[in-house]
Amino acid sequence: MVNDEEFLGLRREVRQFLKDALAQGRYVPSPDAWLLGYDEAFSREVAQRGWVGMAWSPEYGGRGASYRARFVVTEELLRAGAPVAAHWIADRQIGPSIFAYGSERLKREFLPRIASGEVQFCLGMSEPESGSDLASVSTRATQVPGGWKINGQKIWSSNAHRASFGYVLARTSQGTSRHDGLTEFVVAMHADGIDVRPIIDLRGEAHFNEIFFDDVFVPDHHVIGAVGNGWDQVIAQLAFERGGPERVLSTYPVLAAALRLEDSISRSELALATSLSKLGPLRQLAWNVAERMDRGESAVVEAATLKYLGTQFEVEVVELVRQAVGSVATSVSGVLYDVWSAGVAASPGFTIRGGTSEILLTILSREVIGSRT
Amino acid sequence: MNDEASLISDVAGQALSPLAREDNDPDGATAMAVWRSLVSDGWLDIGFGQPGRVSLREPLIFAEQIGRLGVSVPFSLASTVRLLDERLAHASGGQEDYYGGDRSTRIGVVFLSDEPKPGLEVDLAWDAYVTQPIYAVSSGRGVWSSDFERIPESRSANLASEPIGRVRLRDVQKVSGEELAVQATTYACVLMSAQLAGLAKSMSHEATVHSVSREQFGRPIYKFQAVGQLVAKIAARTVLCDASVDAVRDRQIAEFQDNASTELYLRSLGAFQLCASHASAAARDAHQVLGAIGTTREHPLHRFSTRAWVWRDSPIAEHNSLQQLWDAASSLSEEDLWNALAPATAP
Repeated sequence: MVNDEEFLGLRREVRQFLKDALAQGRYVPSPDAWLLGYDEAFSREVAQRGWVGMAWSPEYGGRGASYRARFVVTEELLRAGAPVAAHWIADRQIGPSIFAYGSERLKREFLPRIASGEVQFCLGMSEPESGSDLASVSTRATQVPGGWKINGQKIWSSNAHRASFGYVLARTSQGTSRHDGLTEFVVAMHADGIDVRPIIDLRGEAHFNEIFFDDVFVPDHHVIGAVGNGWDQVIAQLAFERGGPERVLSTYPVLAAALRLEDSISRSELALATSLSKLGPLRQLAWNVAERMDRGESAVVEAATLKYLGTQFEVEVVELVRQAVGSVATSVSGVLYDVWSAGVAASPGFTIRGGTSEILLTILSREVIGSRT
Repeated sequence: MNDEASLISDVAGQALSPLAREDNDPDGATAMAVWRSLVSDGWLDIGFGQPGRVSLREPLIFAEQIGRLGVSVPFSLASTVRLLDERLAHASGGQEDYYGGDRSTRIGVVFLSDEPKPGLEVDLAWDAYVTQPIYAVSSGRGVWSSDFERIPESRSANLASEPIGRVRLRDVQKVSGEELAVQATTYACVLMSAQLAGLAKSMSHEATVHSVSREQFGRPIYKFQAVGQLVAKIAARTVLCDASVDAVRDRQIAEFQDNASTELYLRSLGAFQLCASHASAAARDAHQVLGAIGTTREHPLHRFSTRAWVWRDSPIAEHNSLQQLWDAASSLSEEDLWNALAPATAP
């Protein structure tokens, strides 16, 4: 069992690495850096320290560490606003999904390369017109000799233009339910038939993409888990996607920058105090999710609760900093402007991506009311 | 909750149950009778071990049960006074029972934002039953002991039908410095947080049950998405309240000994602020789910919502706790603050 001292030692180790990297000008702290801060070299350095895939067993390149240890590392990376997007998706959910469901061959092919920062993944879940309805998958995978041919379209795939591989949820058969007949694939993003087109976000940047699949061949051994079992597998994956500290700390660098100011917080101090009162309990909730994962328990509902509450906090932080420090944040010459404006521009996405707040409330509602009916 | 905690919770629930059936006790006489019985059964001593050492595990379970049942007894006040009595006696090498007398009426403590002065008028919960002198705690300044005189015709009950009155302080004596004030504030904050978290749970329960049993337009109202989501929001609030208390509980057991750390102080103030605001919001949303019936004495929701509206400001005012939280937080570096608010890492 990992004891307190080991966690503290790990925290100190990560902090020192980040402090040194900051001093060397390796990164500028920014909000939402787990999605927007894409730096493959930085991710490889994080990986070299054993902080990517750390919860997997050593035979697959991991450290056999707990999810709580991973939590400690990810919290510190998020706190610093470090550029970790290049490894985040693979480390957070694709690797664990391959670890849980993948064939031995798939595990050996990908997990060590993820853990070393050699490969990067993007997500291919959402589709045009699907909105929040993840099961309305129309991208199809048809069996061919030696593998599958994928045709269709995915959307809202962050960093798909940079990733070496993609996770794709596709329909492989028509079952009695929409949840039947879905299968998960690992797709090489350089494969013939893939066309990645950028979507410009409200800041004028392009981390989102559409991905078009035109007879894209995927070998049999790149199927994750059992053919047709994709729905159950993706639901389990969502706990990883929703239950981490990045659902609380996306805008923490804005708050941290405000807290580091001296004598500038002249108004709405109490509003900032309100915000601080939530930070500890939300970090505690994220920790609780990691504990459940360490015990091998399902954390789907807990993760949904965390994401619902945590993303509200993320949005609130940006607004409270604006109210508290005024023009120091909002004026283009203000010392906080860059970090604050990045936070405010990213904030509409917090309560949408990874499951909208309304969908999460529906999940929670079913859970709460389901126990009474 | 483990087996031991469940047992304590059940026994506490049974001990408090006479009050859960009582809905007309404006002068608090029934509550005080139950409270005296609880004190003689040893409930005031839970959590107190050797002098200088306090475990919050059991007091928090009891406090949460008070909230879950929607009852009023001066437990948090009495326990805080007990803490102050004990620490002052310990510091002076005296007996544990600092002021002696009827322990069930050692419930007089007020939390102020400034130093108390003779003549200062304050609201005193359970005033008719309070043994003089009382403590006045000003978190950044110290602890005072004070006698008081009641102000005639001041209010006799608050919104939750708990006895309360206006009193004027006299013979105000400083008895300890800032450190004990911080300990007392920390302790009272976390007990009140647990009471508020208990209220939130019960309001969530009432809203959920109602949404399933109440039919409108031919179907249970939870099937209307807006209602179902409101029920889910209340449930999510209760989870966060629990997390805020948990974040204190684990550290408290290990560290609430001779000194309350800055970390505990911050977490306790934060937990109180969070529970105060979220229990209030849960009350608002639960009333929305229940509609007109929730606004009546006929339905039990009022037992919880009225207490949420009172306990968020009594004995500690949410506004003052926020100010104290900010004062404490703003004196720390970002790194120290981050460390102080870290999740509990105890296995």
